[in-house]
Amino acid sequence: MKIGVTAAGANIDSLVDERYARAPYLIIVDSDTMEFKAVVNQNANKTSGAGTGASQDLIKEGSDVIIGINVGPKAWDVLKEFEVKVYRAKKGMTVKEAVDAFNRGELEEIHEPSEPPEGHEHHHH
Amino acid sequence: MRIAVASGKGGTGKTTVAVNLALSIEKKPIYYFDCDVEEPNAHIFLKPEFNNTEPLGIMVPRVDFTRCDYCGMCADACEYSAILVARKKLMIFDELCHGCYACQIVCKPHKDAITMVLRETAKLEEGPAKSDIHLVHAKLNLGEPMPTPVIAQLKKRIPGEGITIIDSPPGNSDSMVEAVIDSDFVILATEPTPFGLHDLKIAVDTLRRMNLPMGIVVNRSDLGDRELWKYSEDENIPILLEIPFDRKIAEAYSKGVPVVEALPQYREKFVQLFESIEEFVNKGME
Repeated sequence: MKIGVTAAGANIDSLVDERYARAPYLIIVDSDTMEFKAVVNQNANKTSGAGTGASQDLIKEGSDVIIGINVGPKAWDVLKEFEVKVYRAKKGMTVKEAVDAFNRGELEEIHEPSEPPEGHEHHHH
Repeated sequence: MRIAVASGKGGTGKTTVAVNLALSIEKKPIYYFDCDVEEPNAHIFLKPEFNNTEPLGIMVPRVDFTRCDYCGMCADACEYSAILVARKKLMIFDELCHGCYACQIVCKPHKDAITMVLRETAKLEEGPAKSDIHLVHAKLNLGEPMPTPVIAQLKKRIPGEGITIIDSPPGNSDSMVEAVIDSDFVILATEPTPFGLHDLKIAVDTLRRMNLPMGIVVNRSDLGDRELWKYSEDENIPILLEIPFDRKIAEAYSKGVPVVEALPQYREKFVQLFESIEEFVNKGME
């Protein structure tokens, strides 16, 4: 399975970036072999569309699953439309640690974006 | 002839200058284009009777899925990631689209699957106003963040004849550039304060890059300091008119009464302002 991770650096021992769309690198890891590919996140400095762009690039690179920490609402819409599941890494995990944790079934699946879109506030009951 | 009235800093009397200039020009026809689409306010002073309303907005892509082969060229062309293609799916985010047509341009020779449709983001209103001025303005719908494409659409309505006064949005960003571009002359409304001068310098820099001739109108000219006059001399930008602080002007303004109506002695000053600009523009054209 291919796992897309938003990362602070270009290799598998880099930290998972707390930012999703504005992380400097996108790393795609094969969860069976732990082989990986790192691409520069071209969306990181966009004034708008960073979230949708990063999601698209991760999907284009073949990600079946995405691991991040925070995923914004527009990026979330894209991942949902393309039926890509999203899991949350713990802060301070490296990309490798996050994928290992995912393989062991230890990562929590994310079911909603980090910040609700403006004007559509979620009400928690 | 197109005269734009801009200001680096907001609240320095841009609309006051533009409205009173328009009211003091005898030549007809005269058009007033209020391009401050986030908060148009010239109508408060010029009191038009609107007789036409039209939607303005951004042209966004729609895809004919009987033609689309999901090649993804449109998505690659989009600078704003407003159109996404992957795994035989396509998504469009209208609110991210800047209406640049790049997606349609790349698709046309390939599958010609994209047509552009108007997403309304603003309303245009126009009609006859005081002193035979034809006023045209647009107001962004609530929550819409992009004034620049609306200003571009508004300006397409400027007729080839007569005199047009363009009331620019404040600031020095792309919306101001869109409003003042193609003008024959730009009036910069400012005030003699450190903030006023700071923002004026940015506006001057912007206009110089566009090769636009300009002059300064100083509002509340007897307040603040004298740095503006020094700057004007150093940079060789003429000060065309000085309007001192006057409580009567402020009171008239608060009631929506233009200066030239409340204090008729100002009409001659605005007539002279127009004549000096007209002379400058005509000289430049020879």
